[in-house]
Amino acid sequence: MFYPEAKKLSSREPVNMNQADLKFARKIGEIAGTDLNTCLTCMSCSGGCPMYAYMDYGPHGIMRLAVLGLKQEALTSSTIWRCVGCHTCAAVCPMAINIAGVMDYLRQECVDLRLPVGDRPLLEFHRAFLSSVRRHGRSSKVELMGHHKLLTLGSGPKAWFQDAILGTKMILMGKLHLMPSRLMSGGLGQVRKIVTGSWLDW
Amino acid sequence: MTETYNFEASYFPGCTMKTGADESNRPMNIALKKLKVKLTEIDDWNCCGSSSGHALNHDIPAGMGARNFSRIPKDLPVVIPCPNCYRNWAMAQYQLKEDPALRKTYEDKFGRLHLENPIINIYDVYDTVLTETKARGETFENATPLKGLKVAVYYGCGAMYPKNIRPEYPRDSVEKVVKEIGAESVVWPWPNKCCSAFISAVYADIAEDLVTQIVAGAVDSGAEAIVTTCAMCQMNLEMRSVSAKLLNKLPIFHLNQLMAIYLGEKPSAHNDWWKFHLIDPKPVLEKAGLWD
Repeated sequence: MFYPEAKKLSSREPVNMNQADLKFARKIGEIAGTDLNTCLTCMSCSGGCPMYAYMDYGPHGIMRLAVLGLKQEALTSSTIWRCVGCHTCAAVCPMAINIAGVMDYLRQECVDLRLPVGDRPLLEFHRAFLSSVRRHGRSSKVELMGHHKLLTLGSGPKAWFQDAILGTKMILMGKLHLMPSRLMSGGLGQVRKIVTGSWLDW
Repeated sequence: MTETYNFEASYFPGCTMKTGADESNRPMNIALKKLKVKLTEIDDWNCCGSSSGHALNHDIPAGMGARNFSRIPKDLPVVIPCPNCYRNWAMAQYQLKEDPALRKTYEDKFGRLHLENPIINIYDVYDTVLTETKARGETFENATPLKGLKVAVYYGCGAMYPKNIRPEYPRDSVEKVVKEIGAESVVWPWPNKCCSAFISAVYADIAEDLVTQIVAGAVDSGAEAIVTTCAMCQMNLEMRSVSAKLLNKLPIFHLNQLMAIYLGEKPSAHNDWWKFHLIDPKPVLEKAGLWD
């Protein structure tokens, strides 16, 4: 059983704005292509978000942090990493803000600035996935899971043995192919030039 | 004599359908053959970037999309079975169309990008062909309507798009197809709830929580099975129903399987599909009188 996280930003203390970066929302808006100041704080995004119960702020909280310019809080939250990118928030937003796009921008900013990651295992998952794409031009589930287990060796035995039996069973029954399908060498070079970023040399 | 097709398109399988999900691939090929749809796999396609591409680098989906767009033949629609690939393709198409400078950089690298070709999902193909055939007053050979099968149609979050790509709320194509092939689709609370996608691989407990809600919602609404178009959703729903030890497990069908059964395949002859299922769908098909 997973216990929902208590939400931050719900305390009665006044919000400390001393560190606020007032250009933050505009910068996000320019890159993600949406205007965050149109946010009505209606919380439709959090209402629709499948991961809301497991996040520390929730999408509406992140939108608030961004508009207030509380950059540090937004970039180090677990919310941006637990976002699955399902775009439910973007589809239900009455002001057509691409909230999932904002989450993408915040994750990239967190990695670029090397800030503490709110949810490390999920960053490692993305890294394992993209490394697999760099190797083959396509992804391979089995290789990805193995690589992820290696990258998260520090998270303890629960993470190592999670799904060991079920996963092995699925490989044995042939549901997951062991061998990845690959691109021709020329295409692979092109793909490697696309799949780059500051996450590569973390 | 050249064969006439109801529908021709190029085909992007995506990594999941290429390496795994045989239980969906095989019936899909059978169904497409019977519907006279010709799909040609794109030559040397690459991964669309999936959820991780756009998570760590804004440019990955557009770049990966651009390379794929340069490899598709002109004037043919692209059929994409995976909803997440579909969304990444659509996002890339939108970005490249909106930004001529970006398009120019990639055209210099990969050659002409065929951005005008429509992108369609596999259930759109079924919907179109079934509707057109019905309009012509024709029927399919050996068509067996799936009478008595009550399914919950599960799109997963794959039917959710930012408003610049698809302004209207998720459609009901799959419900239409399900109705067309004679099954009954129930009204239930979670057709678009996320199955937890890649989080399932990292936090099993979150995935179990979400899948429990989804399956329980379907059971409460009287569904006997869940049907989905996404291979990832199918895997997550099955895997997490098993690992969460749910009392009421529902079999999770691919739409392709129901389609193939409708078009005359005998479920009992296809252990090559069912052997990949963690939850045996036989009892449900038997109850609906489709297993003989």
